[in-house]
Amino acid sequence: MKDEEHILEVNNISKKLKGFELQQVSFSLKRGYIMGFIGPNGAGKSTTIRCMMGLAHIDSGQIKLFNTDSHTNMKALKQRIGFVYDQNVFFEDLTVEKNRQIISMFYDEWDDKIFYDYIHKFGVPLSTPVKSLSKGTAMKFALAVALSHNAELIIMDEPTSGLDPIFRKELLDVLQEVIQDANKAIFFSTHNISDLEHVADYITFIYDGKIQFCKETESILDHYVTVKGPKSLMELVEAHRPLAIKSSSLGFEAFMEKEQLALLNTSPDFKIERPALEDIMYYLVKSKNDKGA
Amino acid sequence: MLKLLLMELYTQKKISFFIPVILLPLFLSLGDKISGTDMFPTLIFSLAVGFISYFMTSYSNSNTGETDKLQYKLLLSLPVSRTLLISAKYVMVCVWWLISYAWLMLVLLILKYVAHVPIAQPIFNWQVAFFSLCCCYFMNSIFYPLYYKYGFRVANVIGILVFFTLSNLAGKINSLPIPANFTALLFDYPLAAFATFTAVLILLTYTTTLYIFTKADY
Repeated sequence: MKDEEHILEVNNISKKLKGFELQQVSFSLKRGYIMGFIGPNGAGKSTTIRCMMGLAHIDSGQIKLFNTDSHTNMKALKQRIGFVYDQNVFFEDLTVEKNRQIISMFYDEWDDKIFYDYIHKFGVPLSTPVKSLSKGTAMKFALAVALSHNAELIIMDEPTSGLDPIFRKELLDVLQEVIQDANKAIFFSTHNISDLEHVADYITFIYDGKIQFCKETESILDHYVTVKGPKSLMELVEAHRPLAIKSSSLGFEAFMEKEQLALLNTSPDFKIERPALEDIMYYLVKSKNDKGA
Repeated sequence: MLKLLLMELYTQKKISFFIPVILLPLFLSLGDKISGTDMFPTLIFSLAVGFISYFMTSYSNSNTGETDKLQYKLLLSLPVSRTLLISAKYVMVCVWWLISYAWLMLVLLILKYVAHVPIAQPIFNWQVAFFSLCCCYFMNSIFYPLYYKYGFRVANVIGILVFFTLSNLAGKINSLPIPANFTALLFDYPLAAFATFTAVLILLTYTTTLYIFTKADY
């Protein structure tokens, strides 16, 4: 185990853009864990990642990578970071092999054996120009690059967007393999939240440029409940101020904190469920929107 | 730095390496039709090599819009500093010039010894070499800050305008009577004067480009 426990620390960063602002964003990630970074489109996930990677400048706050201020020596820190973006950023006119030749020059610990192992495992054609690869194959290539230089921190921005469920599952399997090395950590942004439920140890939820929570996945899933019931009982539930409630002609579905549930006289007509991560995000966004309206 | 230079060579579009072969004979044949002072043919050859190497440099940056942004997203995610990236761009100008000048010598050799075309110019002329290097840096020094601020299209159009202005200016200066005042020094030592001016311009635009690129978000 390396000295520094936190591989990534984001402390109160702010960044103003046209029509959008990251506000006092803070979270941290320890070695040996996978953190899912979730939020709806336009919530600030990519902007946060761009700030972490030094692609965009922060207005205030601090980003620490491997216990070092990212401003201090970003070049050396990037040797230890693997990245996967949602777009194809590679030299698209060049073949996969030529891209490898160029990119590998920049990494001190580049390992061709690991690269070719992944390339064969993922079935990426080496002699094909990157622009001719399908989105899934281009993503597999990006993943092979990110994993081939012994990076300790893997930062992924929407790696599963637009991919078929089979490859999404494959990707998650690879990530779980990678994280077997307790020295590494994975930071994974997505809006395909169902991907994260089984692999992420921590979830950071960003909405409208602000962090809503950064908690262990299990504790988030345990923190909320959904209550379903007939319409006649809706008023009773509403009295306990659920975070969100929606009704149909047949009944209602309320989203609330587990603590609130204890105050509610549970009727046998209520159906109480543990919501999925996707439902939690949906209801939290809905409750924020309702409050804002 | 070496890695970035190699990357520039790898990523350069292959066709651009052969652009000199197409353009040089054109410039060389034009050179024969132009008369003037002793310095004038040197000026024409220099401008030709300068323009070709400028063309190669700008062609290596010819990505536009989103592709350009994505390329920098990759480069800035690699363990490379922004300062080094810009420095490599400026050093690379020299490499593109060297390739263009090597082509010039090759074309001259072929014309002289294979096609037996009478060529007044020596195969290697240090004045052409030095002046063309200055021309190339001069144009690229104007190209780079504009490229990083406004993108390829704007920078390229302005770069070509600068070339034609420079060519015109060369003709104008050539026809001027040599002044008697202190500016006569510029006419006595045109290479030194242009080199000094180019060096100052490089310094200014390098600093400006670095400032623009360092502040930019990708």
